Amino acid sequence: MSGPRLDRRRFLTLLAATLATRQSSGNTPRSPEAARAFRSSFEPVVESYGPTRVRFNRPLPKGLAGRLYRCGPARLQRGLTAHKHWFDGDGMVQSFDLDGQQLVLRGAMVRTTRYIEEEASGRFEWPSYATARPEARPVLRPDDTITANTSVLPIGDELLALWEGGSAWRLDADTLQTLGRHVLSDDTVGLPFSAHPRTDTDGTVWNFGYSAGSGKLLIYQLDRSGQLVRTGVIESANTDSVHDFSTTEHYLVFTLLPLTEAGATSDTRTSVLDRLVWDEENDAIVLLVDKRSLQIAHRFSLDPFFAYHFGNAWEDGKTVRLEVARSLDFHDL
Amino acid sequence: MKRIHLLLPLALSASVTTAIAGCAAGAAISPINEASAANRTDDGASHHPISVTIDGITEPTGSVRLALYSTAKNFAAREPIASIAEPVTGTSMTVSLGAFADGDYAVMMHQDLNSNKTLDCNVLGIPREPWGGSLSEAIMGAPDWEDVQFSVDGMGVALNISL
Repeated sequence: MSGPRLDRRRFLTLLAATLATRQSSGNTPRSPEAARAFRSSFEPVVESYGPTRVRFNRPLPKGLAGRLYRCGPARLQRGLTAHKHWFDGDGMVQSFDLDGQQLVLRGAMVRTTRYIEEEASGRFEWPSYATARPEARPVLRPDDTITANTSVLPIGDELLALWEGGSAWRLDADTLQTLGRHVLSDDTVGLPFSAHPRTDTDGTVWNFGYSAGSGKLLIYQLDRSGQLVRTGVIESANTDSVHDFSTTEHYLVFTLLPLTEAGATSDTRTSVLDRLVWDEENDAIVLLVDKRSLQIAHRFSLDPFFAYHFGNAWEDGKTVRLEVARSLDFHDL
Repeated sequence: MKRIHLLLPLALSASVTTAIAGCAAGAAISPINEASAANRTDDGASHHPISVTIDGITEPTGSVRLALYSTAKNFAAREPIASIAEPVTGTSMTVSLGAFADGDYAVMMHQDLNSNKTLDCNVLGIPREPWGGSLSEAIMGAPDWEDVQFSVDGMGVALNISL
């Protein structure tokens, strides 16, 4: 573990709701009803639907108008082959439009390059995050395994479907029709653009990308129209699995967990998820990255904990406070 | 219409990482006709041709650069026993590496889009030019010798690499 172990209480306080209880192991529903519901999640879905209008028999509250987007894994089976984990499904984006009178629903699969190829062949052509597939094609670029199934970012006039192992995918914000790979610049084409960007008070969008084994995080700054303003690269340990971050007035707050991809990436019998190892002897590292320089301004070590998502962060005098719901280690998902 | 940006974190959002670290370089191996392929050199040893058919070329520009290795050691050191560069002529092309004695080999290749004779990588160390090799399994990173190794055993070998 590199970096000074400073007075963590002074500089960074974790307001943690500790979720220390062990959850039941991932994909094993307990009741027959739950098991049926779980199986149904693997059933085929339509490529798109809507617009479907839902009318209400009473007025909606005034002001309850606008559009909600959601994104999640939807296509989990091809032929007789299913993914082992929900994380692996091809993404579908749905929109919910409220205009005070009615709800209009739309949904569409994100037609990534992977989705299009696998639709044509009728089978899974590549391995997935949680599903090893030794007989499949080798992964020659991050977007080979793209699913665009994690979240969405409305920016400019478009909607981006986000994942974290590869490019964002552009959609028409109204029709949800896929427009293609999102290319920010020649230098960043095909690089991972993570699924939990943060929007700043002035509309600036901050995001990052990582690639296991690189020891680096790539930081993106976009303006409110979605144009790339600049990128930065920082180097640190614990960059094999970084899902989310937070921002304060002056800093990007990265919490890097002792979750490392051990074992050879050329071992085709294991998936990425199989290879992730929780190293409780290691520390969690908190990096405060200066928004102006995009360089690490402060580095702290904390006892190891696990969290996928991070809450609000803010500067309280010389203290940076960060909200997170944590668990004590990385459970089998 | 005013949009409500309710971008709630998805409870099951995927944490996905694809390690293609290290600018290094997939392929089914099929034997080619023995009678027409084999030749014989002065030392009496039987040599057999190794050829590579590359398809899936989306940008027909620059050249393909191929390297042949014969041991884990010279593969690790990226010291090929033979190498060849050919201008890209279309979306698919076949390149002959020459004739070689029985033994273990490995092929790595990339498409040199900008003709700088280097496999260019981005800031995270991921190749930014198309690459491939004599891979037969779905690896998710830079291959080891075992991932790319194939054998020449009494007949020529025709590799197929999809970019």
